[in-house]
Amino acid sequence: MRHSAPRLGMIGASALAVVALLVGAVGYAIHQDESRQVHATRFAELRVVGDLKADQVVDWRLDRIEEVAIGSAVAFRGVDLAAFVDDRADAALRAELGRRLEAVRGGRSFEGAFLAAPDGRLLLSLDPAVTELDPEAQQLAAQVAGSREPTMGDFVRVGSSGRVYIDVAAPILDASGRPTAVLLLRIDPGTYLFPMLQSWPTPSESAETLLVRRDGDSVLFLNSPRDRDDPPLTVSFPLSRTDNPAVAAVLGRTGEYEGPDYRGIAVLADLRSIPGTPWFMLAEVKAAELLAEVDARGRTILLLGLLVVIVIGGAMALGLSLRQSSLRQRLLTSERDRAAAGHLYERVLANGRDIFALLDPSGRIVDANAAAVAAYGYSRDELLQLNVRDLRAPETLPALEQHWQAAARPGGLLVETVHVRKDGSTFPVEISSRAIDIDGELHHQSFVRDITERKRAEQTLQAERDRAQRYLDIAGALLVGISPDGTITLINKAGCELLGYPQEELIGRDWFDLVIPERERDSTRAVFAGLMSGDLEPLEYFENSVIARNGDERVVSWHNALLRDAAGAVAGTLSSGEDITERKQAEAEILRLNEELEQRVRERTAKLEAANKELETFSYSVSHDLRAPLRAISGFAEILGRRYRDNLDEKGRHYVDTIVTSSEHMGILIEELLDFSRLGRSMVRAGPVPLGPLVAGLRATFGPRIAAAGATLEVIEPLAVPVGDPTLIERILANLVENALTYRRPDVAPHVTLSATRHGRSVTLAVADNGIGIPAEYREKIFEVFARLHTDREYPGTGIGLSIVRKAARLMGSDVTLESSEGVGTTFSLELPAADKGSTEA
Amino acid sequence: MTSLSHTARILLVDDNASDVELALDAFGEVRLANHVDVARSGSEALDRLFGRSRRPHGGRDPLPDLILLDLKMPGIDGFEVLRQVKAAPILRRIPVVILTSSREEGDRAMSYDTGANSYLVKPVSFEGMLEIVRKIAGYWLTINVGPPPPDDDDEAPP
Repeated sequence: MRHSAPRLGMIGASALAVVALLVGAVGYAIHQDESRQVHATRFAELRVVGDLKADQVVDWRLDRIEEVAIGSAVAFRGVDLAAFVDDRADAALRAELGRRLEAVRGGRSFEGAFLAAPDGRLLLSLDPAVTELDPEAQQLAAQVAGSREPTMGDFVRVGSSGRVYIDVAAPILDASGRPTAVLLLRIDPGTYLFPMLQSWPTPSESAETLLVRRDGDSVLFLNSPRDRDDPPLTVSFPLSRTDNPAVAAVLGRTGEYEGPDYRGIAVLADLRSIPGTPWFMLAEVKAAELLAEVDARGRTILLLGLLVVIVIGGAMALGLSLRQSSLRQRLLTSERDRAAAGHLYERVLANGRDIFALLDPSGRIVDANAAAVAAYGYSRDELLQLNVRDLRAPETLPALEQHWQAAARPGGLLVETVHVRKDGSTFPVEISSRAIDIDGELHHQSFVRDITERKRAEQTLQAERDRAQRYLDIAGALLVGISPDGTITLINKAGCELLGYPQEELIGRDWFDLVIPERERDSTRAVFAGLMSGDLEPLEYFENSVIARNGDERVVSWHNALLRDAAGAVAGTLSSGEDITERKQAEAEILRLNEELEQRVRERTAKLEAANKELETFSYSVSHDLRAPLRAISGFAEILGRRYRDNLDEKGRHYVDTIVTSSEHMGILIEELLDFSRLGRSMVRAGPVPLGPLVAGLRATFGPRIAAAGATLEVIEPLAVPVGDPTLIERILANLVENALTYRRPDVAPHVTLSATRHGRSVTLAVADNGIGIPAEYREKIFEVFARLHTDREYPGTGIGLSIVRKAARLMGSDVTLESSEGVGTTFSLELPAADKGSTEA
Repeated sequence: MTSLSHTARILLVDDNASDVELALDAFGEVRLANHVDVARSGSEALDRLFGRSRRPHGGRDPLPDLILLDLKMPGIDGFEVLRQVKAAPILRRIPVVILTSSREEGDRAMSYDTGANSYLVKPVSFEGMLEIVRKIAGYWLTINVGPPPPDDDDEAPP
């Protein structure tokens, strides 16, 4: 027994060694496999997070660019910006621009807002302390003024204050598409961008996202690394340090990276570039965190292996006191198992940034880490008295039961909810929870992350989105964004109201099919295609009709601006429109009224012409018909007076003579009356009228009368050349000379003076006499037809001469005036336009 | 060929009896060797000129050396007579003197456009009428050299 025992022991020991080796090999294989799996899982996670963060950065950037584009296109309408660029002294204009700039800045969304000249010179800043733009901002302004496309600048660190900002800029174009000024909006990346980059969607101690760019021959960190206090844009490394994920990223490497980081600490990272920017993003996690997990699993496997060996060895070696042994062994196993588990927890509990809690089946907290103590404000002992219900905000309790069950299912639970601290304050959390079996009981292990920061960032983002939407909504203009395929991507409240659809029924629909009337659809689509292909200039004015849901047709005038994606390709149009239906209707109404008015004028004119024609016919026939009997009276009376004179006594002869002279007088009256009515029936001509020939004609006509009366006709040379109708002027002068010769003073030889003198651009024609003069009270009456101041015996005449003079003068747009004093003489004059210097007396 | 030896023929066309009587009286008073035929309407004038009027011995009226034409007449007016005279090869060379009471520009223009050779306005006084008759006889029938008689080709009315 004693001999056999050692031999048996030898065999047993050998067998045990073999078993131990086997178990070790299997354990190592499992460990290696686990390690690979952990690597693969971690890289997948990094890639997903990288995608997410890069998308968020791109979205954020495009949103900001869109905001500045809208602001530049809409906010400065109707202000004379060009005048301000030239002269910034106008205080009222400055105040108005300031108000609009403030509206564009929109509360806290942008840190600052500026107007710059196309050359980058600062025109207006909301912050009076800023008197000049940084060189980077000036360059950005000049760049967008040149390209006419809105864009985002790079991170800029102000040396003096250490502040970091990013500017977005867009040109403000005038009606012809030339940049008048540039709108710059300044973003503080600390309000949204940096918190967004820092938040990590899964529990991790060391995971972080870094944004870097190349800066000469070094790589510059744009945000602060997680475990360093350096401000943004202060950490940089030379490109020569190629053993660094940041350097690898800016040199063009993308995808998985495993190696030391800038601190020399081994990391796993996902590398990528941010489209449309010079930025690169690193999503990385310390390899140590990964190794810790692998190690933890490895230690568990090793431990289990040892246990197997020990159990088998024990079973083989010890036959005696099996019961005691077995009891002791079980105790030992249990103790070591717990120690191993305890080790794992310890690590999490001690180091975890995230809250960790272990819940028993009833939901009671059986374990919690320091982060939990810090987060909830309870001591650890207090925490261990609480149920998970006590940590939940009251309004979230109804969902707890469902969450609890979900955590027990494979894959566990990932949910956002609200927790409450000891002091009653609440904070948003993200819970990652799964069920684990501990000593046969279903426990829940929960990682809880305080997502206050993330929520704030999301709210900021939402607030900015809301603000942008509100901005679109309060803009009086319709704003419509259309993608290159013609679908509506954006429409503001004014647009929805005009069309009568809720916003969600418009977004995604084909703009042309839905709202453009069929007759205009093809032409409108063609214009759009022109904009998309670049054949048409943006900002081109365009008018078309749209059909609202209720069938109403409205006319809208549009200004179109192109939207471009990060790569610079045309990504659609942003159009601002104005409903001009009423204006159009008013214009049409005015046109219609004008047309009606013209029609009425035409009708009136036709009637007047008809009436005139009738009057002419009347006067023609009257003259003709009156003259025939007059000729008979006059002719036969004359024959009577000549051939039968001797047969009449004195009285009879007187009667016959009176009949003859009266009928002759009546003949003259009719003749002159016809003359008067005939004036102006033919077209009035207007041309230079040299007076020399006219005066010569007058001398010939009046020669015998002038000689008989012993009169003189003096012509004051030179005679200026008026513009008028030669016939009318001749009639005027003839009648005035006739008048002057007739109304003479009996004892004074008539002296008539005719002159034409130029005064500037007019010529005064005057005929002056030394006759009897005209009493002041008759100076108007004498121009009336048949008006006479004297009997025929005193001065023969018909009373029509001056009426003809006045009518002739008025037909040429002038009038006759007179100056007279009784017993001295009278001067009649009229003014006519002067002919050009060239056409003087020839 | 009109010559001083033969008695000139005048055709006076006027619908107004008084004017005709005064004119004939005036022609009588100036005692010139001429013969005045009177047509008292436009249609009568055309009948005479185109040889359509009936004469006791059946021959046609000899053509006048001068036509004195009033414008305003009922029916066929002076313008129509003038137009037809000037359109007919056989008549168109006969001088036509318009004698009217109208001074209207339109009437004057229309007369000359249609081919009138002279335009006179009837005077109100008989003295004036005598003056005109003297001048007509002196100028148109004495000084003025009239046209040759129509060619044989032109004989037939159109």
